[in-house]
Amino acid sequence: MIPRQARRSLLRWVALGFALLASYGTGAAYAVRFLFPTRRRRERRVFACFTSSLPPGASLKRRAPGGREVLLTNAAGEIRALSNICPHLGCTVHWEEHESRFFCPCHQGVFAPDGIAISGPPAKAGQRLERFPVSVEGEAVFLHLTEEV
Amino acid sequence: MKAITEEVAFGWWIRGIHRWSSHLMVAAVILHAIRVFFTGAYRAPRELTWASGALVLLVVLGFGFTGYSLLYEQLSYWGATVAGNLTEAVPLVGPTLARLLRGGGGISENTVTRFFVLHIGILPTALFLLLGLHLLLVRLHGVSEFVFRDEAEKRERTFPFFPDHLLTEVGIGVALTFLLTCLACIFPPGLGERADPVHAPAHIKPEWYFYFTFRWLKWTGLSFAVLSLGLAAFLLVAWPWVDRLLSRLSPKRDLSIGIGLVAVLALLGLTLREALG
Repeated sequence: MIPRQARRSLLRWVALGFALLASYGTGAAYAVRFLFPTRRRRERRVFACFTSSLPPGASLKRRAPGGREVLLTNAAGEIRALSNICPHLGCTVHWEEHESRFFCPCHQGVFAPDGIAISGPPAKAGQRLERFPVSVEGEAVFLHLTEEV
Repeated sequence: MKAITEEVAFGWWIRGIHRWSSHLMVAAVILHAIRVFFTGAYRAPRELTWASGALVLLVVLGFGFTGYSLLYEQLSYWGATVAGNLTEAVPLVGPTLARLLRGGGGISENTVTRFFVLHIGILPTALFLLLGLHLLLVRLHGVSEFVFRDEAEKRERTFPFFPDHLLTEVGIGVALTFLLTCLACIFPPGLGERADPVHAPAHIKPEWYFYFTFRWLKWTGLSFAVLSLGLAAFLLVAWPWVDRLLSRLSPKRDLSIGIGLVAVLALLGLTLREALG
């Protein structure tokens, strides 16, 4: 038989332990949620253009939801959609018409029209501009984007 | 920032002094580190003094980076984007560190808040503690004096804190305030183009003290750049112990001087290369 005094003492410690765990645990849970917020990925299908406005050899610039710019090109009937974000360190590339290339002003990365890096740090790392899936439904061209929400 | 510069009484002056003193602070810490390195003042018993000073240099660079990022100009936005992605490339802890730094997956208003907290809370506390330790160690070990081989050993010179030391400090303070006021009046800090998350500007450069990293990133692959810059920062802090190891390997030659010379020339070369286009 455990003496009454010892049982009270044990109960007191157990209660204190639970109280501490509940209070600091709640605080820690909120801190973790603040530091590492939940990330979810969402697929989106966005209308880009009609095929009539993108004949072979033409290119179009579209602003996707969230602000990203997407360059659509029609190379001999194949419609491609490229991101304008440099895979090296995330700056936005510029399309240089006179050179027929994408150029990143941050670290001088150069990309061919199909998005493959041909010079600068992205070429050394064998990188390319992100290519978004495209679907053509009837006359309409759709972009398939993945967003973090 | 616009209101501070254009509406608040003497806001332009405070901002000018803040901006110019940040440039002078970085330059002063770099020059001090070079002087201490080439006079060998980091050697025993002053290893910890050097290490704390090197950490102060890194904190000062952190101040510079978070400071110009808070303006939310094009340079701020794209500088923060590059820094965030650079952090993300650090092996193992990179993605978590980058998320903590940016307050999310990309640069947003959360990033500005975090940089503000870093700039006015975390970095000042770190600087206060490191500088406190640095000065305490300087008091404990004394200031190292450069003595030539053929020079007779000097006897210890002391002078009273009041009024000698205090008056010198006040004099330097007044002279610096005058110099900074002149700089703030002649070259007032402006406001660049507002941050545009969709378009990186055609010509972009960070502040002069990051020119070397900027050029290094252009010349090398990302992983190599991240690892080499991390190694350089580690060597900077741990140099007294690396030097001891080197002197054991080559007791007759002072390898540190040669390595230091190469490092300074490389820094200068990369900085000038970036500055000249």
